[in-house]
Amino acid sequence: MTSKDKSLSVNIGGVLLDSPIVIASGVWPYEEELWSPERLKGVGALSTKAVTLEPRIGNPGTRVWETPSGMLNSIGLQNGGVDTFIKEYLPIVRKSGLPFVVNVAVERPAETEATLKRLNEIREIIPAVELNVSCPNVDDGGMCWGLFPESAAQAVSLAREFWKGSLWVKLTPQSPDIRGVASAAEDAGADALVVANTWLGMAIDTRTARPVFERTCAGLSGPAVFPLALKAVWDVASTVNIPIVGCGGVFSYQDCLAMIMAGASAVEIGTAMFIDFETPARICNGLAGYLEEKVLSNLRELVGIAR
Amino acid sequence: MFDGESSIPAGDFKGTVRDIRQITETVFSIHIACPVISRLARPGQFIMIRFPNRSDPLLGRPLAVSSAGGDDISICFQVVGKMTALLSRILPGEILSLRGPMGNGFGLPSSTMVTMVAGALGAAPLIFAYNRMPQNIGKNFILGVADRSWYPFCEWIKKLIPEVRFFSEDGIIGKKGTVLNGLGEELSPEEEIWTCGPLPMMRAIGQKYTRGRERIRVSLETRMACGMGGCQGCVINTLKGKKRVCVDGPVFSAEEVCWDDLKG
Repeated sequence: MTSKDKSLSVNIGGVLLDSPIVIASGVWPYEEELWSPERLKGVGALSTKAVTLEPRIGNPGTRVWETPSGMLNSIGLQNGGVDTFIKEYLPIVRKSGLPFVVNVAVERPAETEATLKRLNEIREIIPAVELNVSCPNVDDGGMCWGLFPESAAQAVSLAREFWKGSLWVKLTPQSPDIRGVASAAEDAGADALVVANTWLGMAIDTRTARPVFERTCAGLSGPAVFPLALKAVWDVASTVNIPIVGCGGVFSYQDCLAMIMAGASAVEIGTAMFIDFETPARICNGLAGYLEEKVLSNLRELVGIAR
Repeated sequence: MFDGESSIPAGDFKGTVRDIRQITETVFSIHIACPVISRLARPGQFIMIRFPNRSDPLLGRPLAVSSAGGDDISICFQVVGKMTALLSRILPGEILSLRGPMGNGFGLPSSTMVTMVAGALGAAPLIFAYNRMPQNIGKNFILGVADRSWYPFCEWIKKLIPEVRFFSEDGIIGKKGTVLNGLGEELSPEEEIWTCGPLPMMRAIGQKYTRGRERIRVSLETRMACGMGGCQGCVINTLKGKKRVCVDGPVFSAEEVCWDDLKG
Protein backbone atom coordinates (compact mmCIF):
# COMPACT_ATOMS: atom_id res chain seq x y z
CA MET A 1 0.00 0.00 0.00
CA THR A 2 1.43 3.41 -0.89
CA SER A 3 0.48 6.69 0.69
CA LYS A 4 -1.31 7.68 -2.51
CA ASP A 5 -3.32 4.48 -2.55
CA LYS A 6 -6.81 5.39 -1.41
CA SER A 7 -8.35 1.96 -1.80
CA LEU A 8 -8.32 1.46 1.98
CA SER A 9 -9.45 4.96 2.89
CA VAL A 10 -12.60 5.38 4.93
CA ASN A 11 -14.68 8.18 6.38
CA ILE A 12 -15.75 7.54 9.94
CA GLY A 13 -18.16 10.17 11.11
CA GLY A 14 -16.40 12.90 9.17
CA VAL A 15 -12.88 11.74 10.05
CA LEU A 16 -10.91 10.66 6.99
CA LEU A 17 -8.63 7.68 7.54
CA ASP A 18 -6.08 6.38 5.02
CA SER A 19 -6.47 2.91 6.45
CA PRO A 20 -9.31 1.25 8.34
CA ILE A 21 -7.06 0.34 11.26
CA VAL A 22 -7.57 2.37 14.42
CA ILE A 23 -5.45 1.71 17.50
CA ALA A 24 -7.96 1.26 20.33
CA SER A 25 -8.04 3.32 23.49
CA GLY A 26 -5.82 2.24 26.36
CA VAL A 27 -3.14 0.76 24.17
CA TRP A 28 -0.67 3.33 22.90
CA PRO A 29 1.49 5.14 25.47
CA TYR A 30 2.55 8.78 25.16
CA GLU A 31 6.22 7.94 24.68
CA GLU A 32 7.20 10.30 21.91
CA GLU A 33 9.20 7.78 19.87
CA LEU A 34 6.07 5.68 19.41
CA TRP A 35 4.26 8.51 17.62
CA SER A 36 6.66 8.66 14.68
CA PRO A 37 5.37 7.57 11.24
CA GLU A 38 7.80 4.60 11.19
CA ARG A 39 6.20 3.17 14.32
CA LEU A 40 2.66 3.68 12.97
CA LYS A 41 2.78 2.10 9.53
CA GLY A 42 -0.65 1.02 8.37
CA VAL A 43 -2.42 2.89 11.16
CA GLY A 44 -5.39 4.98 10.03
CA ALA A 45 -6.06 6.67 13.36
CA LEU A 46 -5.44 6.31 17.07
CA SER A 47 -7.75 6.52 20.02
CA THR A 48 -6.12 8.04 23.08
CA LYS A 49 -6.12 6.52 26.51
CA ALA A 50 -9.35 7.42 28.29
CA VAL A 51 -9.48 10.97 29.61
CA THR A 52 -11.41 12.01 32.71
CA LEU A 53 -11.91 15.45 34.25
CA GLU A 54 -9.62 14.86 37.23
CA PRO A 55 -6.56 12.61 37.42
CA ARG A 56 -7.25 8.98 38.31
CA ILE A 57 -4.72 6.60 39.80
CA GLY A 58 -6.46 3.53 38.45
CA ASN A 59 -7.12 0.25 40.21
CA PRO A 60 -4.96 -1.38 42.91
CA GLY A 61 -3.74 -4.96 42.78
CA THR A 62 -3.33 -7.17 39.75
CA ARG A 63 -4.31 -5.38 36.56
CA VAL A 64 -3.68 -7.89 33.79
CA TRP A 65 -4.14 -11.65 33.59
CA GLU A 66 -3.79 -13.93 30.61
CA THR A 67 -6.58 -16.31 29.66
CA PRO A 68 -6.77 -18.85 26.81
CA SER A 69 -6.19 -16.75 23.67
CA GLY A 70 -7.16 -13.63 25.55
CA MET A 71 -6.46 -11.37 28.45
CA LEU A 72 -8.34 -9.72 31.27
CA ASN A 73 -7.55 -6.17 32.29
CA SER A 74 -8.62 -4.01 35.16
CA ILE A 75 -6.68 -0.78 34.73
CA GLY A 76 -9.41 1.57 35.92
CA LEU A 77 -8.94 4.59 33.66
CA GLN A 78 -5.56 5.63 35.07
CA ASN A 79 -4.88 9.04 33.50
CA GLY A 80 -3.67 12.50 34.39
CA GLY A 81 -6.98 14.30 33.81
CA VAL A 82 -8.08 16.43 30.87
CA ASP A 83 -5.84 19.42 31.62
CA THR A 84 -2.72 17.26 31.73
CA PHE A 85 -3.85 15.55 28.56
CA ILE A 86 -4.22 18.84 26.71
CA LYS A 87 -0.98 20.32 28.02
CA GLU A 88 1.37 17.35 28.00
CA TYR A 89 0.05 14.63 25.75
CA LEU A 90 -1.97 16.29 23.01
CA PRO A 91 1.18 17.85 21.47
CA ILE A 92 2.74 14.36 21.25
CA VAL A 93 -0.44 12.87 19.79
CA ARG A 94 -0.55 15.56 17.14
CA LYS A 95 3.04 14.91 16.09
CA SER A 96 2.07 11.68 14.36
CA GLY A 97 0.13 13.68 11.79
CA LEU A 98 -2.52 10.95 11.88
CA PRO A 99 -6.16 11.51 12.77
CA PHE A 100 -6.92 10.71 16.39
CA VAL A 101 -9.94 10.44 18.61
CA VAL A 102 -9.91 11.52 22.23
CA ASN A 103 -11.50 8.81 24.32
CA VAL A 104 -13.60 10.48 27.01
CA ALA A 105 -14.84 8.26 29.82
CA VAL A 106 -18.35 9.21 30.83
CA GLU A 107 -18.45 10.16 34.50
CA ARG A 108 -21.14 12.03 36.38
CA PRO A 109 -22.90 14.53 34.10
CA ALA A 110 -21.19 17.62 35.55
CA GLU A 111 -17.75 16.07 35.12
CA THR A 112 -18.44 14.79 31.63
CA GLU A 113 -19.77 18.21 30.67
CA ALA A 114 -16.66 19.95 32.02
CA THR A 115 -14.28 17.57 30.24
CA LEU A 116 -16.07 17.97 26.93
CA LYS A 117 -16.21 21.75 27.28
CA ARG A 118 -12.43 21.83 27.74
CA LEU A 119 -11.95 19.75 24.61
CA ASN A 120 -14.55 21.73 22.68
CA GLU A 121 -12.57 24.92 23.27
CA ILE A 122 -9.83 23.46 21.09
CA ARG A 123 -11.99 21.38 18.79
CA GLU A 124 -10.29 22.68 15.65
CA ILE A 125 -7.30 20.50 16.54
CA ILE A 126 -9.25 17.46 17.75
CA PRO A 127 -10.69 15.35 14.91
CA ALA A 128 -13.17 13.44 17.09
CA VAL A 129 -14.20 12.39 20.56
CA GLU A 130 -14.87 8.75 21.35
CA LEU A 131 -17.43 8.72 24.12
CA ASN A 132 -16.69 5.78 26.37
CA VAL A 133 -19.97 4.55 27.83
CA SER A 134 -18.47 1.14 28.26
CA CYS A 135 -15.52 0.99 30.67
CA PRO A 136 -16.13 -2.10 32.82
CA ASN A 137 -13.44 -1.27 35.35
CA VAL A 138 -14.79 1.67 37.36
CA ASP A 139 -17.78 2.05 39.65
CA ASP A 140 -18.83 5.58 38.88
CA GLY A 141 -20.17 6.06 35.40
CA GLY A 142 -18.39 4.06 32.75
CA MET A 143 -20.26 1.01 31.61
CA CYS A 144 -23.51 1.67 33.44
CA TRP A 145 -24.25 4.45 30.92
CA GLY A 146 -24.05 2.08 28.02
CA LEU A 147 -26.19 -0.74 29.33
CA PHE A 148 -29.62 0.60 28.41
CA PRO A 149 -31.01 2.76 25.59
CA GLU A 150 -32.31 5.42 28.00
CA SER A 151 -29.05 6.01 29.82
CA ALA A 152 -27.04 5.82 26.60
CA ALA A 153 -29.31 8.44 25.03
CA GLN A 154 -28.82 10.65 28.07
CA ALA A 155 -25.01 10.38 27.90
CA VAL A 156 -24.82 10.91 24.16
CA SER A 157 -27.24 13.86 24.27
CA LEU A 158 -25.11 15.48 26.95
CA ALA A 159 -21.99 14.93 24.88
CA ARG A 160 -23.67 16.26 21.78
CA GLU A 161 -24.58 19.42 23.65
CA PHE A 162 -21.03 20.22 24.77
CA TRP A 163 -18.86 18.65 22.08
CA LYS A 164 -19.50 20.06 18.61
CA GLY A 165 -17.05 17.94 16.63
CA SER A 166 -17.31 14.38 15.35
CA LEU A 167 -18.70 12.10 18.05
CA TRP A 168 -17.93 8.39 18.13
CA VAL A 169 -19.60 6.34 20.83
CA LYS A 170 -17.94 3.17 22.15
CA LEU A 171 -20.58 0.66 23.19
CA THR A 172 -20.44 -2.09 25.77
CA PRO A 173 -21.16 -5.68 24.79
CA GLN A 174 -22.62 -6.16 28.28
CA SER A 175 -25.83 -4.46 27.24
CA PRO A 176 -28.78 -6.85 27.08
CA ASP A 177 -30.03 -4.70 24.19
CA ILE A 178 -27.05 -3.51 22.16
CA ARG A 179 -29.24 -2.80 19.15
CA GLY A 180 -31.46 -0.56 21.24
CA VAL A 181 -28.44 1.21 22.72
CA ALA A 182 -26.95 1.68 19.23
CA SER A 183 -30.18 3.19 17.91
CA ALA A 184 -30.48 5.44 20.95
CA ALA A 185 -26.92 6.67 20.43
CA GLU A 186 -27.55 7.32 16.76
CA ASP A 187 -30.78 9.18 17.52
CA ALA A 188 -29.02 11.26 20.18
CA GLY A 189 -26.46 12.48 17.67
CA ALA A 190 -23.60 9.98 17.47
CA ASP A 191 -21.63 10.18 14.20
CA ALA A 192 -20.14 6.69 14.49
CA LEU A 193 -20.26 3.68 16.81
CA VAL A 194 -17.39 1.59 18.08
CA VAL A 195 -18.60 -1.97 18.67
CA ALA A 196 -17.51 -2.82 21.27
CA ASN A 197 -15.50 -2.57 24.49
CA THR A 198 -14.28 -5.59 26.51
CA TRP A 199 -16.47 -8.36 27.88
CA LEU A 200 -16.77 -8.82 31.62
CA GLY A 201 -14.94 -11.84 32.89
CA MET A 202 -13.06 -12.94 35.96
CA ALA A 203 -10.29 -15.17 37.17
CA ILE A 204 -9.63 -16.90 40.46
CA ASP A 205 -6.14 -17.46 41.76
CA THR A 206 -6.40 -21.05 42.94
CA ARG A 207 -3.31 -20.66 45.12
CA THR A 208 -4.99 -17.99 47.21
CA ALA A 209 -8.59 -19.07 46.56
CA ARG A 210 -9.45 -15.45 45.87
CA PRO A 211 -10.47 -13.53 42.74
CA VAL A 212 -7.37 -12.29 40.91
CA PHE A 213 -8.75 -8.78 40.57
CA GLU A 214 -9.63 -6.51 43.46
CA ARG A 215 -12.83 -5.56 41.66
CA THR A 216 -13.52 -9.26 41.00
CA CYS A 217 -14.48 -8.65 37.37
CA ALA A 218 -12.30 -7.37 34.56
CA GLY A 219 -12.52 -6.78 30.81
CA LEU A 220 -11.77 -9.64 28.42
CA SER A 221 -10.09 -8.94 25.07
CA GLY A 222 -8.00 -10.75 22.48
CA PRO A 223 -8.72 -13.43 19.86
CA ALA A 224 -11.02 -15.22 22.32
CA VAL A 225 -13.68 -12.51 21.95
CA PHE A 226 -13.54 -12.10 18.17
CA PRO A 227 -16.65 -14.16 17.34
CA LEU A 228 -18.59 -12.29 20.03
CA ALA A 229 -17.48 -8.91 18.68
CA LEU A 230 -18.34 -9.95 15.15
CA LYS A 231 -21.86 -10.83 16.22
CA ALA A 232 -22.22 -7.50 18.04
CA VAL A 233 -21.19 -5.69 14.85
CA TRP A 234 -23.61 -7.81 12.83
CA ASP A 235 -26.45 -6.96 15.22
CA VAL A 236 -25.72 -3.25 15.37
CA ALA A 237 -25.27 -3.00 11.61
CA SER A 238 -28.81 -4.24 11.17
CA THR A 239 -30.05 -1.28 13.17
CA VAL A 240 -28.08 1.90 12.43
CA ASN A 241 -27.05 3.90 9.39
CA ILE A 242 -23.96 5.60 10.84
CA PRO A 243 -20.50 4.02 10.35
CA ILE A 244 -19.45 1.20 12.67
CA VAL A 245 -15.93 0.53 13.88
CA GLY A 246 -15.61 -3.13 14.81
CA CYS A 247 -13.54 -3.80 17.91
CA GLY A 248 -12.71 -7.06 19.63
CA GLY A 249 -10.03 -9.63 18.92
CA VAL A 250 -9.04 -8.47 15.45
CA PHE A 251 -5.56 -9.88 14.74
CA SER A 252 -5.46 -10.67 11.02
CA TYR A 253 -6.64 -9.15 7.76
CA GLN A 254 -9.19 -11.95 7.57
CA ASP A 255 -10.61 -10.82 10.92
CA CYS A 256 -10.74 -7.27 9.59
CA LEU A 257 -12.45 -8.41 6.38
CA ALA A 258 -15.04 -10.36 8.37
CA MET A 259 -15.82 -7.28 10.46
CA ILE A 260 -16.24 -5.22 7.28
CA MET A 261 -18.36 -7.87 5.59
CA ALA A 262 -20.56 -7.89 8.70
CA GLY A 263 -21.11 -4.16 8.37
CA ALA A 264 -18.14 -2.35 9.93
CA SER A 265 -16.32 0.35 7.99
CA ALA A 266 -13.14 0.15 10.06
CA VAL A 267 -11.73 -1.79 12.99
CA GLU A 268 -10.01 -0.97 16.23
CA ILE A 269 -7.16 -3.15 17.40
CA GLY A 270 -5.79 -3.32 20.90
CA THR A 271 -4.46 -6.59 22.27
CA ALA A 272 -2.89 -7.35 18.87
CA MET A 273 -0.57 -4.36 19.35
CA PHE A 274 0.57 -5.83 22.64
CA ILE A 275 2.17 -8.70 20.80
CA ASP A 276 2.98 -7.41 17.32
CA PHE A 277 3.77 -3.84 16.33
CA GLU A 278 3.48 -4.84 12.68
CA THR A 279 -0.22 -5.75 12.96
CA PRO A 280 -1.60 -2.63 11.19
CA ALA A 281 0.83 -2.86 8.26
CA ARG A 282 0.25 -6.61 8.00
CA ILE A 283 -3.54 -6.18 7.93
CA CYS A 284 -3.32 -3.39 5.33
CA ASN A 285 -1.13 -5.51 3.09
CA GLY A 286 -3.58 -8.37 3.36
CA LEU A 287 -6.54 -6.11 2.59
CA ALA A 288 -4.79 -4.54 -0.41
CA GLY A 289 -3.96 -8.01 -1.73
CA TYR A 290 -7.55 -9.12 -1.30
CA LEU A 291 -8.90 -6.07 -3.18
CA GLU A 292 -6.45 -6.72 -5.99
CA GLU A 293 -7.42 -10.36 -6.22
CA LYS A 294 -11.12 -9.53 -6.30
CA VAL A 295 -10.58 -6.57 -8.64
CA LEU A 296 -12.21 -4.11 -6.28
CA SER A 297 -11.27 -0.44 -6.15
CA ASN A 298 -12.17 0.29 -2.56
CA LEU A 299 -12.75 -1.53 0.67
CA ARG A 300 -16.07 0.31 1.02
CA GLU A 301 -17.51 -2.05 -1.60
CA LEU A 302 -17.24 -4.85 0.94
CA VAL A 303 -19.06 -3.19 3.83
CA GLY A 304 -21.94 -5.43 4.85
CA ILE A 305 -21.75 -7.77 1.83
CA ALA A 306 -22.12 -10.84 4.02
CA ARG A 307 -25.56 -9.72 5.07
CA MET B 1 18.56 8.34 43.81
CA PHE B 2 18.86 6.01 40.84
CA ASP B 3 16.77 7.28 37.99
CA GLY B 4 17.61 5.26 34.92
CA GLU B 5 16.50 6.25 31.49
CA SER B 6 13.12 4.85 30.41
CA SER B 7 13.22 2.75 27.32
CA ILE B 8 10.52 1.54 24.99
CA PRO B 9 11.26 -1.54 22.90
CA ALA B 10 13.07 -0.97 19.60
CA GLY B 11 10.53 -3.26 17.94
CA ASP B 12 9.36 -6.84 17.47
CA PHE B 13 12.00 -9.13 16.04
CA LYS B 14 12.35 -12.76 15.06
CA GLY B 15 15.03 -14.73 16.85
CA THR B 16 16.40 -18.13 15.90
CA VAL B 17 17.15 -20.55 18.70
CA ARG B 18 20.85 -21.51 18.60
CA ASP B 19 20.83 -23.96 21.45
CA ILE B 20 19.02 -24.87 24.60
CA ARG B 21 20.63 -26.19 27.70
CA GLN B 22 18.97 -27.84 30.65
CA ILE B 23 20.65 -26.71 33.84
CA THR B 24 18.46 -28.29 36.51
CA GLU B 25 15.28 -30.31 36.34
CA THR B 26 13.31 -27.08 35.81
CA VAL B 27 15.85 -24.42 34.80
CA PHE B 28 16.91 -23.83 31.22
CA SER B 29 19.10 -21.43 29.29
CA ILE B 30 18.54 -20.58 25.63
CA HIS B 31 20.82 -18.82 23.16
CA ILE B 32 18.92 -16.92 20.52
CA ALA B 33 20.31 -15.23 17.42
CA CYS B 34 18.79 -11.76 17.21
CA PRO B 35 21.37 -9.20 16.03
CA VAL B 36 19.36 -6.02 16.71
CA ILE B 37 18.51 -6.93 20.30
CA SER B 38 22.02 -8.24 20.93
CA ARG B 39 23.50 -4.94 19.75
CA LEU B 40 21.13 -2.75 21.77
CA ALA B 41 20.65 -4.70 25.01
CA ARG B 42 22.08 -3.27 28.20
CA PRO B 43 22.33 -5.05 31.55
CA GLY B 44 19.04 -5.13 33.40
CA GLN B 45 16.96 -4.79 30.26
CA PHE B 46 14.59 -7.53 29.19
CA ILE B 47 12.66 -8.90 26.26
CA MET B 48 9.08 -10.06 25.85
CA ILE B 49 9.28 -13.52 24.34
CA ARG B 50 6.51 -15.48 22.64
CA PHE B 51 5.83 -17.98 19.94
CA PRO B 52 4.88 -16.39 16.63
CA ASN B 53 1.54 -17.53 15.20
CA ARG B 54 0.33 -18.90 18.51
CA SER B 55 -2.55 -17.29 20.31
CA ASP B 56 -2.24 -19.50 23.39
CA PRO B 57 -0.14 -18.54 25.21
CA LEU B 58 -0.90 -15.12 23.83
CA LEU B 59 1.17 -12.42 25.47
CA GLY B 60 4.94 -12.17 25.53
CA ARG B 61 6.67 -13.12 28.78
CA PRO B 62 9.22 -10.74 30.23
CA LEU B 63 12.62 -12.40 30.58
CA ALA B 64 15.85 -10.67 31.46
CA VAL B 65 18.72 -10.74 29.00
CA SER B 66 21.51 -12.71 30.72
CA SER B 67 24.13 -12.13 28.05
CA ALA B 68 24.54 -10.38 24.72
CA GLY B 69 27.43 -10.73 22.34
CA GLY B 70 27.91 -11.01 18.59
CA ASP B 71 24.50 -11.74 17.11
CA ASP B 72 23.25 -13.65 20.12
CA ILE B 73 21.50 -13.08 23.39
CA SER B 74 20.76 -15.58 26.08
CA ILE B 75 17.93 -15.96 28.53
CA CYS B 76 17.53 -18.19 31.52
CA PHE B 77 14.23 -19.34 32.99
CA GLN B 78 12.50 -21.76 35.28
CA VAL B 79 9.47 -23.74 34.12
CA VAL B 80 6.52 -22.26 36.02
CA GLY B 81 3.64 -22.29 33.54
CA LYS B 82 2.44 -22.90 30.02
CA MET B 83 4.84 -20.58 28.21
CA THR B 84 7.96 -21.69 30.04
CA ALA B 85 6.97 -25.34 29.61
CA LEU B 86 6.77 -24.77 25.85
CA LEU B 87 10.05 -22.88 25.87
CA SER B 88 11.76 -25.74 27.69
CA ARG B 89 10.93 -28.03 24.76
CA ILE B 90 12.12 -25.72 22.01
CA LEU B 91 14.78 -26.95 19.59
CA PRO B 92 17.64 -25.24 17.76
CA GLY B 93 16.45 -23.61 14.55
CA GLU B 94 13.00 -22.76 15.86
CA ILE B 95 11.82 -19.17 15.64
CA LEU B 96 10.70 -17.02 18.55
CA SER B 97 9.19 -13.55 18.56
CA LEU B 98 11.12 -11.07 20.68
CA ARG B 99 9.96 -7.59 21.68
CA GLY B 100 12.72 -5.45 23.07
CA PRO B 101 15.16 -4.67 24.40
CA MET B 102 13.21 -2.64 26.92
CA GLY B 103 13.36 -1.11 30.33
CA ASN B 104 15.86 1.21 31.93
CA GLY B 105 18.38 -1.43 32.97
CA PHE B 106 20.78 -1.10 35.87
CA GLY B 107 22.59 1.86 34.31
CA LEU B 108 26.14 2.75 35.33
CA PRO B 109 27.30 2.54 38.93
CA SER B 110 27.69 5.76 40.86
CA SER B 111 29.96 4.16 43.46
CA THR B 112 33.28 2.35 43.25
CA MET B 113 32.00 -1.02 44.44
CA VAL B 114 28.90 -2.93 43.39
CA THR B 115 27.62 -5.96 45.26
CA MET B 116 25.28 -7.97 43.11
CA VAL B 117 22.75 -10.00 45.09
CA ALA B 118 20.75 -12.63 43.26
CA GLY B 119 17.99 -14.89 44.44
CA ALA B 120 17.82 -18.03 42.27
CA LEU B 121 16.78 -17.07 38.72
CA GLY B 122 17.23 -13.41 39.63
CA ALA B 123 20.84 -14.10 38.70
CA ALA B 124 19.98 -13.74 35.01
CA PRO B 125 20.23 -9.92 34.58
CA LEU B 126 23.03 -9.73 37.13
CA ILE B 127 25.25 -12.12 35.15
CA PHE B 128 25.00 -9.63 32.29
CA ALA B 129 25.63 -6.69 34.63
CA TYR B 130 28.62 -8.44 36.18
CA ASN B 131 30.21 -9.11 32.82
CA ARG B 132 29.64 -5.58 31.54
CA MET B 133 30.77 -3.83 34.72
CA PRO B 134 33.34 -1.09 33.97
CA GLN B 135 36.85 -2.29 34.83
CA ASN B 136 37.50 0.37 37.45
CA ILE B 137 34.54 -0.74 39.55
CA GLY B 138 34.94 -3.38 42.24
CA LYS B 139 32.34 -6.14 42.19
CA ASN B 140 30.96 -8.95 44.31
CA PHE B 141 28.34 -11.53 43.45
CA ILE B 142 26.18 -13.29 46.00
CA LEU B 143 23.68 -15.97 45.06
CA GLY B 144 21.03 -17.37 47.35
CA VAL B 145 19.12 -20.58 46.62
CA ALA B 146 16.64 -22.69 48.54
CA ASP B 147 18.17 -26.13 48.64
CA ARG B 148 20.32 -28.83 47.05
CA SER B 149 18.13 -29.02 43.95
CA TRP B 150 19.86 -25.83 42.82
CA TYR B 151 23.32 -27.40 42.90
CA PRO B 152 23.68 -27.73 39.08
CA PHE B 153 22.51 -24.13 38.72
CA CYS B 154 25.15 -22.96 41.18
CA GLU B 155 27.81 -24.95 39.32
CA TRP B 156 26.70 -23.26 36.11
CA ILE B 157 26.89 -19.81 37.69
CA LYS B 158 30.32 -20.58 39.11
CA LYS B 159 31.65 -21.18 35.61
CA LEU B 160 30.37 -17.78 34.53
CA ILE B 161 31.34 -15.95 37.73
CA PRO B 162 34.17 -17.74 39.56
CA GLU B 163 34.08 -15.29 42.49
CA VAL B 164 30.44 -16.01 43.34
CA ARG B 165 29.54 -16.69 46.99
CA PHE B 166 26.62 -19.01 47.71
CA PHE B 167 24.02 -19.16 50.46
CA SER B 168 21.41 -21.87 50.77
CA GLU B 169 18.66 -22.34 53.28
CA ASP B 170 19.63 -25.96 53.95
CA GLY B 171 23.35 -25.15 54.06
CA ILE B 172 24.21 -27.77 51.44
CA ILE B 173 25.42 -25.18 48.94
CA GLY B 174 27.79 -22.49 50.26
CA LYS B 175 26.94 -21.05 53.64
CA LYS B 176 23.73 -21.77 55.49
CA GLY B 177 21.35 -18.86 55.48
CA THR B 178 20.06 -16.27 53.09
CA VAL B 179 21.85 -13.67 51.02
CA LEU B 180 21.22 -11.21 53.84
CA ASN B 181 23.87 -13.09 55.84
CA GLY B 182 26.36 -12.12 53.15
CA LEU B 183 25.70 -8.41 53.46
CA GLY B 184 27.36 -6.05 55.92
CA GLU B 185 25.46 -4.34 58.72
CA GLU B 186 25.94 -0.99 57.06
CA LEU B 187 26.26 0.04 53.46
CA SER B 188 29.46 2.01 53.03
CA PRO B 189 29.24 5.24 51.04
CA GLU B 190 31.49 3.73 48.34
CA GLU B 191 29.28 0.71 47.87
CA GLU B 192 26.02 0.00 46.15
CA ILE B 193 23.83 -3.09 45.83
CA TRP B 194 22.15 -4.31 42.68
CA THR B 195 19.63 -7.04 43.32
CA CYS B 196 17.15 -9.26 41.56
CA GLY B 197 15.22 -12.20 42.91
CA PRO B 198 12.07 -13.10 44.81
CA LEU B 199 10.18 -10.09 46.13
CA PRO B 200 10.56 -10.96 49.84
CA MET B 201 14.34 -11.09 49.37
CA MET B 202 14.47 -7.73 47.61
CA ARG B 203 12.13 -6.19 50.13
CA ALA B 204 14.35 -7.41 52.97
CA ILE B 205 17.44 -5.97 51.29
CA GLY B 206 15.64 -2.75 50.44
CA GLN B 207 14.59 -2.31 54.05
CA LYS B 208 17.75 -3.63 55.70
CA TYR B 209 19.61 -0.37 55.64
CA THR B 210 18.37 2.84 57.17
CA ARG B 211 21.08 4.79 55.37
CA GLY B 212 22.11 4.41 51.75
CA ARG B 213 18.86 2.96 50.38
CA GLU B 214 19.22 5.22 47.37
CA ARG B 215 22.30 3.15 46.50
CA ILE B 216 20.31 -0.07 46.29
CA ARG B 217 18.93 -0.83 42.85
CA VAL B 218 16.21 -3.45 42.70
CA SER B 219 15.02 -5.15 39.54
CA LEU B 220 11.30 -5.79 39.98
CA GLU B 221 8.95 -8.16 38.23
CA THR B 222 5.19 -7.78 37.78
CA ARG B 223 2.62 -9.22 35.41
CA MET B 224 2.81 -7.42 32.09
CA ALA B 225 0.77 -7.40 28.93
CA CYS B 226 2.31 -5.04 26.40
CA GLY B 227 5.89 -4.35 27.46
CA MET B 228 5.79 -0.92 25.83
CA GLY B 229 4.28 1.24 28.55
CA GLY B 230 0.83 1.27 26.99
CA CYS B 231 -1.49 -0.91 29.01
CA GLN B 232 -0.41 0.26 32.46
CA GLY B 233 -0.92 -3.26 33.68
CA CYS B 234 2.44 -3.45 35.44
CA VAL B 235 2.40 -0.28 37.54
CA ILE B 236 3.76 -0.08 41.07
CA ASN B 237 3.49 2.64 43.67
CA THR B 238 6.60 4.75 44.18
CA LEU B 239 7.35 7.91 46.09
CA LYS B 240 7.06 9.66 42.72
CA GLY B 241 3.64 8.18 42.01
CA LYS B 242 2.66 5.27 39.78
CA LYS B 243 5.44 3.90 37.65
CA ARG B 244 5.38 1.24 34.95
CA VAL B 245 7.77 -1.62 35.64
CA CYS B 246 8.15 -2.31 31.90
CA VAL B 247 9.54 1.01 30.67
CA ASP B 248 10.07 3.17 33.79
CA GLY B 249 11.74 0.14 35.43
CA PRO B 250 12.33 -2.70 35.89
CA VAL B 251 15.18 -1.26 37.96
CA PHE B 252 14.21 1.11 40.76
CA SER B 253 15.97 2.65 43.70
CA ALA B 254 14.99 0.77 46.89
CA GLU B 255 14.29 4.18 48.38
CA GLU B 256 11.55 5.08 45.91
CA VAL B 257 9.62 1.79 45.98
CA CYS B 258 6.54 1.69 48.25
CA TRP B 259 7.41 -1.80 49.53
CA ASP B 260 4.29 -2.26 51.63
CA ASP B 261 2.10 -1.90 48.55
CA LEU B 262 3.85 -4.73 46.71
CA LYS B 263 2.30 -8.14 47.07
CA GLY B 264 4.26 -11.34 47.30
